Amino acid sequence: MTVLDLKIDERAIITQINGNKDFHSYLLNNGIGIGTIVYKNYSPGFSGLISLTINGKMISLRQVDFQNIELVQI
Amino acid sequence: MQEILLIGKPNSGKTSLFNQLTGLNQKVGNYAGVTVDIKSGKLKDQQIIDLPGMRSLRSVTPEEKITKDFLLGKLGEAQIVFTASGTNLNDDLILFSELADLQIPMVLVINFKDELEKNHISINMHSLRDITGCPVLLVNSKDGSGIDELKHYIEKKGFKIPNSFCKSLYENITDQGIENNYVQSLSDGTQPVNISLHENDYLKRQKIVSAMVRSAVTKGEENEYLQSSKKWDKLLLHPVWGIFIFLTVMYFVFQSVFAFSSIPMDWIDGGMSNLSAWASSTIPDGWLQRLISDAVIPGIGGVVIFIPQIAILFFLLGVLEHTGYLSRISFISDSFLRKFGLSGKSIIPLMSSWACAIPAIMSTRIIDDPRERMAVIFASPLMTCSARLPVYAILIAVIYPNDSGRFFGSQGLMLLALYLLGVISTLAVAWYFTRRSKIPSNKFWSLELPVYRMPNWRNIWINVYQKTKSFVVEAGKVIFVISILLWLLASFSPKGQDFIQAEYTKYTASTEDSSQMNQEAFELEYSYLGYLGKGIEPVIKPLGYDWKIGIALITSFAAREVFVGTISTVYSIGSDEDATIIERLRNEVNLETGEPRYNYATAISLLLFYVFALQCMSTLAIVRKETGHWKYAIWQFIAFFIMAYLFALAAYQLLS
Repeated sequence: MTVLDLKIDERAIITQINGNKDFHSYLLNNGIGIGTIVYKNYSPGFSGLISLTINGKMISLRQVDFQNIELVQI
Repeated sequence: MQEILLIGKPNSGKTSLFNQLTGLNQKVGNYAGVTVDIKSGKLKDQQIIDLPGMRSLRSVTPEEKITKDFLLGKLGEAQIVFTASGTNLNDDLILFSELADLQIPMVLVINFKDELEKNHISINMHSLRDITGCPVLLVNSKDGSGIDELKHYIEKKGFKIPNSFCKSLYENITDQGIENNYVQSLSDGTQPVNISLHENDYLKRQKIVSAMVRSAVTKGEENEYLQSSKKWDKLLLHPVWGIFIFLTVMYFVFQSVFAFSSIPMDWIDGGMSNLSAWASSTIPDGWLQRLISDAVIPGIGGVVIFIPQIAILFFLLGVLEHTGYLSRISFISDSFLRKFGLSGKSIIPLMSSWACAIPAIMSTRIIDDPRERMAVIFASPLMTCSARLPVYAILIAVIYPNDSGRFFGSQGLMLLALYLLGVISTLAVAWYFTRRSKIPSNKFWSLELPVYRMPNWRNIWINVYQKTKSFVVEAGKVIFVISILLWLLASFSPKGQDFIQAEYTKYTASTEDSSQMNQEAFELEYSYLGYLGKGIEPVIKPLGYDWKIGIALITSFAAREVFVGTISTVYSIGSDEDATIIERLRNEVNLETGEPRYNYATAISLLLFYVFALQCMSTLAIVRKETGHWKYAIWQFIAFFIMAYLFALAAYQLLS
């Protein structure tokens, strides 16, 4: 599953990150790597953004980028 | 002088700490070639340097690269005050562990003591000191608690090299011994990223830091401190209410820049006029008197008059930023702006441009993507700023005379059309720029939504002071010089004063027309500027303009609103009411055709010229300052001039 499938207030752990090296590197610099626990806050349809809580911070990424992050709900 | 570098992740309260340590004893300098502020200030005999926030030593955004390069260039010399947000230790200490591997003496400062207390988080400082091996202090940069202890450590040089965390990951055992390539692995940003090494490194650090935080920090329910922010976000990011609140807030900001600045701007304007009159009456008659009263004082006035707008905009932006709402505004507007190659971070500069492009261009520093930032700097002067309003008002009144008393009329529709044209052209230029520019762009976009906090007023005021000072000092120099240059061109004639006087006497004797030119207008006609106006007449004639309009185009290069004043002078009009100006413009006859000079075609052509032309030297000066060189300012001027010319030409040729 991806973040897009996660419902609001659900938690999941990142199991795989697809995409190129730059994307991996970008996510790592934002504290997002394999094994990171994410918590979905909200994803207002109009914005095309998804807000997650990651390592105690609320971070928003664009939906298109989230498609490359695979996770398992916990 | 010993250098102390303030380093931390974005939103860790680093700049607040810097302000607490240095007060107003600060200096802002741009890093060579890149427009990022590196602030430095003094604390007794120590130099405190506030570097842009960074997420990791491996980050590649321009600001983070600056911090990394600066830091690696100071290895062995500098010491670090590392700022971590008390509520985000798990994340912030990963960067701390990277710095620890550089073996630089450090003090670890845990900030936002108040938020720790509010969220029932307690930290065992002894345990953290033992694990890290360096001094650890708990401070609150908002109210200054714990700052004295930090100052004590800085003054007594109580920094210590922390325990290395993961440096061994980069050690190779060679015949010569152990070789460590950690620093080399960081400094080569042009090489492809070794993602597995990066990932291993990150995971290892994350594991160590998590264990460290678990052993030293006791906290209540996880993410408890985020709950209140999340509740607010449910309202402020709501698909309907969120947008309504956003539009209301933006209207307030936009309106405030106009409304609250008008009175102080009038004071400055009036004060400068009085000063000019005083200089004129006090200094003995001659060129020096005219230079001071007609060029130096108005030149200074042309700079300081923008202070209220800049101060108000940056004050309001500061409040929005400190409370955390600025990020929400970016969140809400991202989807719309993405269609034009921009992101939500561009919304504030773009909307600020409706008031004035100068503070708007200065506020583009909140955009972290270099290409997007340059696109906004390039396109935002096309938004209809307040200086265009006097020009629009007069020209619209000339072509639509009978509109008074109607709520919906041609005048209002024309003004609306001009505003819309400004918005459309801004977005179109930004779209084109982001597609054609070779400036590096961040491929990915993320936005941290910070927790809602009360604004730190002290920091906001320091920022307002710094931004205003920076404008006055940097852009002011250019504006001042160009003002004097325009004055010289308008005040001196290749023919000499005696010749002009004799010609004027002849002219007044030969005409009894009550609308004859006054001496001021006559002198302007014979000035270098007058000759310039006549010189450019063949170029502007296809647009429907004569040499008198040419003079106004040249003088309004200083600022668009100067058009009105120049037109008043050129047509021998005193500085009375607008109605008189409008009447005179309506009555002005084109001697070649016998038709009104300001007919529909000419007025529309002029309006379109002012929609596009970059007739504002202050904007050019601030573009130069923000981009670091003249290249973009010159391109912008030329490109907008060509657009203005072509649109004005098309309008005149089609309508006449």
